[in-house]
Amino acid sequence: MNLATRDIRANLMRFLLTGLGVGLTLLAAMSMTGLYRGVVKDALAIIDDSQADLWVIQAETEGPFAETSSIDRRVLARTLSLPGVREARQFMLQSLRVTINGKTVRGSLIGLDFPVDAGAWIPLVAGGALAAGRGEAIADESSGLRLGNEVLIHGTRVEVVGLARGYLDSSGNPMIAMSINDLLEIVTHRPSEAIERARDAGRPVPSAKAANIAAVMLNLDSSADAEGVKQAISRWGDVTVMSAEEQRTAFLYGRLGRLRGQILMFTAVLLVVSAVVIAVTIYTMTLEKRREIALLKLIGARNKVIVSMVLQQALVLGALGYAIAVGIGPLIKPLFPRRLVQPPEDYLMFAAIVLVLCVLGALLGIWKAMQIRAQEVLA
Amino acid sequence: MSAPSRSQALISDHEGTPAAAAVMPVPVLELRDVSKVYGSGDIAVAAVSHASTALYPGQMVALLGPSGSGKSTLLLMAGLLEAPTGGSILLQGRLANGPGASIADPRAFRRQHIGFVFQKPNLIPFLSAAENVRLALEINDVPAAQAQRRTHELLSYLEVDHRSGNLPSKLSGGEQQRVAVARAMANQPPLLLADEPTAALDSKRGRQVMSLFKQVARDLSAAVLVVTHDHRSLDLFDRILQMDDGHLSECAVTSLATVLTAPAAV
Repeated sequence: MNLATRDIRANLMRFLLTGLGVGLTLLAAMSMTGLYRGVVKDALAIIDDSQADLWVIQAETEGPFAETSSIDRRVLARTLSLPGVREARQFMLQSLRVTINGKTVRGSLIGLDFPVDAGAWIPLVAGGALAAGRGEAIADESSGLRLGNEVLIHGTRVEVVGLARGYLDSSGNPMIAMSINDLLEIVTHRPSEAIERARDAGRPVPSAKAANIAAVMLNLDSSADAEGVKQAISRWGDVTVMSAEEQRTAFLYGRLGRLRGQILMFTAVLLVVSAVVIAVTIYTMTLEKRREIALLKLIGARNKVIVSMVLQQALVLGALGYAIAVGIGPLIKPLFPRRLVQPPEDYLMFAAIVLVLCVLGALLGIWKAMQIRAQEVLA
Repeated sequence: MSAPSRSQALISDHEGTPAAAAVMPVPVLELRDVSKVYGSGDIAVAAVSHASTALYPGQMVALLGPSGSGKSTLLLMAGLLEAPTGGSILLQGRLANGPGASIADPRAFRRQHIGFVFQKPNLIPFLSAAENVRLALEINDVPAAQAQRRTHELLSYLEVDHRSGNLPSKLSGGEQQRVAVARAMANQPPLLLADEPTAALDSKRGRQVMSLFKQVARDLSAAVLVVTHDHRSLDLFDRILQMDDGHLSECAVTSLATVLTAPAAV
């Protein structure tokens, strides 16, 4: 006779509600982990998806993802002359507020070096990559833009030819990719009043200033010596060079360091809360059966009968909570303003965590059950 | 089986002699000069002082006494739930305490040899009546089919078979107590200990339960020790023991009438 299941069956509603409580706590911890992964994935999307081997960036900086990077466009030609460099692409990144359908949206504009880079690496759900050097854009769907929409950005009109999903910057804002020439026009655009005022003051006209790019992305020949290329570029002095991995590290531990720490800390706190909730729940469930446990001891039940009852209930509670968390998770995922990324290994990790927490919680309950004396029945 | 006289009981103290063994069966429960003192020094309280008695198969014995007289402590010691601080307890001839004790695992011994019934039925609330009985059998490693059959037999014997699938909360107080008795009898223990089993029942139901114990003592040849305040059923008992300030004494048959007519003393 399985005492654990009999108890659960007889108190099903209360057990389900307890499981719901545990499940929601787990859901919070899982969502936080998903949020963390989402932030990292968003932040690294360009670095990972563009598949550049090396990033040539402004000297003494850590690149456009960690801080402002501005280099002369002529660096492109220099990099192409290096042995081992198969392809070089200019890259720009600009954070701007854009008015879309009367609504102001904060986003990141990406400048692509068309035709070398038409944005084929961007995860598209509709449309295609850039087909022209001017007037076309690829936008994330969260911007509100749809295929064929035209949008005027600081005097430059672009038409959406490709729609991406999950193409977000590190702040979770949508990215809009366009040719670098369009983006240069946008960033150097000045209202006519600004030009007039500059002229009146005898200052150079703003738009006349030569615009720089943020970086040059390099792809090397498979046989190229990456270290050799890096050393050659480093000797130029006006720029520095980082591998994709170094860019990732600089971004994650630099600009995103505090945010990651914050989320990880919060996740850890939620896991501790989950552990305490599960342990206290199981402990309380054991205390509620104090009389029954005393009776079992009185009529001669072996300890394994009592241990098995407490442990099985803890595991069923954990499994129920986990199922609720996994079941509800996908339903509420779209409600989060930031993307939640939960790979299968996270589900496995949480299953293992829940198992460990349940066993630890059960140990607490078992310890208490072992303290209960048979004569308490007579009390 | 008729109750042995006091002198016969004393003979059992010398059961080691072949002659004695031939005269009397081995007592199911035997207390030899048993004491229980809680605390020590100035705060020491003697709950039981030098109690001696023996219960034989088929006997139904009442244990009377005012609150705080040591009845429950005596019952706990008899059920191997408390160890005495002095004297010896023998169960079926096996020494239960002190040096040379042959009952190494009191819980395992209880499982097979002692049944308990309480003032409250103490049924496990999430098990049906039948499951409460079957649990005691399964704990004692009785095969499932046999446990099922025995459960049915017991519940039929106690006339609650028709409620076997009900949870305790759906049973009346009397029915619950019958199921508790069935559970206590499940493994056919030679010793049944009951602590005020009729306190929560009306007089009619109370007498029914006491009659049930009498029936169990007779049919199973079990020794039944009942702590009770219920004078109305004392006529059902073979012997009456009295506890006063920790001292155990046996009421002679002639003094039974006094006990029955002097409720203030109980």
